[in-house]
This record gives sequence, C-alpha cells and structure tokens, in this order.
Amino acid sequence: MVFQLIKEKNILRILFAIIIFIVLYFYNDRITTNYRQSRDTQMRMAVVNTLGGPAIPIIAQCCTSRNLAEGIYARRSDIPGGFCFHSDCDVVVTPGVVSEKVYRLKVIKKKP
Amino acid sequence: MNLPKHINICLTAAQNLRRYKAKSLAIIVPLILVMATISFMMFSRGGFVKDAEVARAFLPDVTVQGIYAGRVGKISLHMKTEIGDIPHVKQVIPRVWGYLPLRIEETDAAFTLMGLDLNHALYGKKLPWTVDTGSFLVPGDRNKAVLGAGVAVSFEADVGDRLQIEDTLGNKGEFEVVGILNDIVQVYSTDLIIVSIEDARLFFGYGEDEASDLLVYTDAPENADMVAWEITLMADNTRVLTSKALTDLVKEAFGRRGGTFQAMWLMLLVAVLLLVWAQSAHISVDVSKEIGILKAVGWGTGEIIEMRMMESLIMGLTGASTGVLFGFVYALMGTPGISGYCIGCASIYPKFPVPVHCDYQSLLLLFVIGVMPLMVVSAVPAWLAGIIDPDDTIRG
Repeated sequence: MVFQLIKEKNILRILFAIIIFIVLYFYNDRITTNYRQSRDTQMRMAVVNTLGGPAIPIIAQCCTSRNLAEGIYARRSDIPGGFCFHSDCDVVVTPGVVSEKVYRLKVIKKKP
Repeated sequence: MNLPKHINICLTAAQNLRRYKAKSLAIIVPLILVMATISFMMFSRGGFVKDAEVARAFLPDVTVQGIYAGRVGKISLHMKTEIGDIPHVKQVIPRVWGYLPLRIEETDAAFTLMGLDLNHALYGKKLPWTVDTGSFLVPGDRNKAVLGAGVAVSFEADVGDRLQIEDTLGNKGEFEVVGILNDIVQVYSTDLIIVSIEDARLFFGYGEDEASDLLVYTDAPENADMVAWEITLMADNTRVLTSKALTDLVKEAFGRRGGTFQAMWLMLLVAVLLLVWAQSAHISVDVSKEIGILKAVGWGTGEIIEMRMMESLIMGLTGASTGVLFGFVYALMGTPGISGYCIGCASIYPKFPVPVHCDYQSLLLLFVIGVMPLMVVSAVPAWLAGIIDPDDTIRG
C-alpha cells in the first residue's frame, strides 16, 4: 500500500523534486561552500587570509538605516572594500556628491 | 492507528487533485512562484553568511584601528610594538589602505588601494590558485600591483600594463600590473588594487610610522577576547574589532534582515493564501455531490476533513518542494533576468559569482512557511465540506 502511495503521480512529483534538490545541494556544497572539499571556498579563504579580511564589496543595507553617506551598515566602510554604493557590483559606486573630486587612473598598455 | 485507511484517504486526495487539475494548478503555480522567490533570496544570503562563518578562521584575531574625533584615522606603529608585548600575541601586521574615488565614463566609483606588508603577510596556501593571470606580489616587490577582476575589467588592464593613479592634490603613483585575481574570489577582491605597504604609504601620504590598521594574530583563537581587552585598556583612541565582531557584521548585513524582497514575498504569500481560501471555500455542486456520496457510503465527517486537509498538504508540499528546487537552481544560475531589481534595499545580486548555500534550518523554515499557512487557511473550508448533509446534496 505504501508502494501504491509512492507510485501516485502527485506524491512522486514531490519526491522527485526533493531528490533533485538533495543532489544539487550536495553538488553545490562540494563545489562552492564546503571548505574541505570546495576549491572555490579554499581560494576565497586564501584571499581573506592574505589580505587580513577585506569586507565583501556588496551593499546589503536597508534604506531606512542611518548614515547613508558613510559607514555602510555597522561601519563596514571602515574595513577595506567596505565603502561601496554598488550599482551592479561590477563597479563600486560612490554617492553623487557635488564637492568631491575624483582621482585619475590611467592604464598605459604594455608595448607588444 | 489505522495506517491503510489514512493511506487510502491520501490516495483519494491525490486523485481528487488530478481530477480537478485546473483548480489545483491555480493554487500550486502561484505557490511555486512564491516559494522560489523566498528560496533564491534565502539561499543567496545563506552563501554570504556561510562564507563569513568559514572566513572567521582565516581573519586576524583582532583588528585595531585608530580613532580621531570619533572617526577612523591612522594608527601609530608604536602601538604595534606595545601590542606585540601582550602575552599570547603571536604577530602584529600593519596594513595601509584607502579608497580611490574614480570616474568611469559617467559613473563615480570607489576602488580600494590596499598596501600589504609583503615581508610578514600570511600568504594563504591556496593563493596561487586565485591568480587568473600573472602572479601575486612577493616580498621585495615595489611599484607592482595585483588587481581584482572588477578593476581589470573596468580599466581594460592586463598583466604588464602600467597603472598611473593621480589623486586630487597631484600625488602620483605608478604600478606595473603583475597579476589579476580570478572570478571566484571577486566577492572579496573585485574592487581591490593590491600593492606593497611602502607604495601605499607613499601614495596616501602616510608617515613611516603610520598605518591604517593593525592585524593582530594570537597563539590561540580563544585568547582573542583577552588580547582585545588588553589593547582597549592600553590605548583609548582605538577601535578594537575581534574576528567574531567582523563575522557578526557580515551576518547582520546579509542575514535574515528583510528588505524589498521580503515585503514583496509576503504580499505574494498573502495573495496565494487568499486564492486558496477562495478556491477551498467555494464548494462546487459536483464536489458537494461527491462528498455527499462518500458520506452516504460510510465516510465520516473526520475522514472528509482529513481528505480535504490532505489535498492541501499535497498541494503545499508540491508547491514548496518545486519552488525550493526552482529557487535553488535560479540562485545557482545567478538570478538571471531580475538581478537588477535586487539592487539596493537589503539585497542585491552582483554580476560576479557569489556563494550559494542553504542550511537545514532555512530548508525546514521554507517548508513550514510553504505548507502550514495553506493548511491553516484550508481548515475551515475543509470542516465546512465535512459537515455537508449527504441527503441534501445528493437530492440537489
């Protein structure tokens, strides 16, 4: 009877989704999150270790929190990499202020 | 407990859902959408939180910053010697870093120039893996830089090129690009320009005995708090951050704090529950007749209610499991299509790969919030269906 229940399409769908999820979970754990097995995590931690803990350069701030111009949420700006108003996380965007002048960065290409 | 009876009721409920396919889909599809939304959000944040927990073992035990007028300023290297004398302190490494406000096309951006003490840096064993092209800095390197992938892409810089940086006062720095970090580590390095501490000092105008902060490593992590207290007592104008504090900051920032998405998700969930209520409360003539016949052939009120609740349970489990699966796959894919809408309030999704993780508590919570409200909302309609009078319904 239990077998009959498992054979029922609606129940089978639930089991199928859970099994696929478990497979993906372990795959993801192995690839990206588990330090012992994941090369990606080992690489990220090597950077954290060498640099002495940079902040994640991503804003995760509620718009109602105070001190928007500096001190991203709980003083994260005081950790290197923490000062950021990201537009889309390829570029770290600073707030649009009138008075602040920008630095200049020029790349001189290597001669072939 | 009469297990076969309950299994039979469950099978009947499953068959009912199949027979009334359109009605079932009208509930399951929005539920999948709702569950997928909350799932990808939770799993994306879970990745940051998990990373922060793992990173704690690799952070300096204590980070000391100088405070002037209540704001972070330079710290004197005299402190380094004093901190080094505290029992259980193994190593104190100064670091000099600052921001480079730059304009890329029409966008104002801030990158981070970080100077490392290359003679004493704790080179992570797997560091060579993180370098996509070129190599990392080695002790003795001067006027050389390693770039995060975001910087390299923004300025189309490559190994061998030279970076000329000029601040607003006209101070210049020129660095040869010797390495570019890979995509995997962008979550920590996308905006970094890593140089030697001497070069950073020169560029930012720091004195020989000044640094931005001091990284303190103890002989055992359990001594971190004690060392932190000692430093606090030693100097009043310092901010002392333990690795736990830094980890907690990331957890707070990326943890369960809500934002636009949670509000949106809550609205969607309420909409689905209203839909379930509307669908369940309205018992069609056909369904009434079926229930009447079931009661006429001996089904009790409790069994009818159980069947109706079982229908809700199967719908809830189908919606929750499929939604969670879709959400997980979507998070692994980097939320294509809607990543732009995640920007800003409490949650954003960057273009570079970020870790995705789900823990057991999150999973349990997802199933509870996916199934329980559905069961609760359908309880009253189930009871209403259970008390239908068979005589009245069969005769019409």
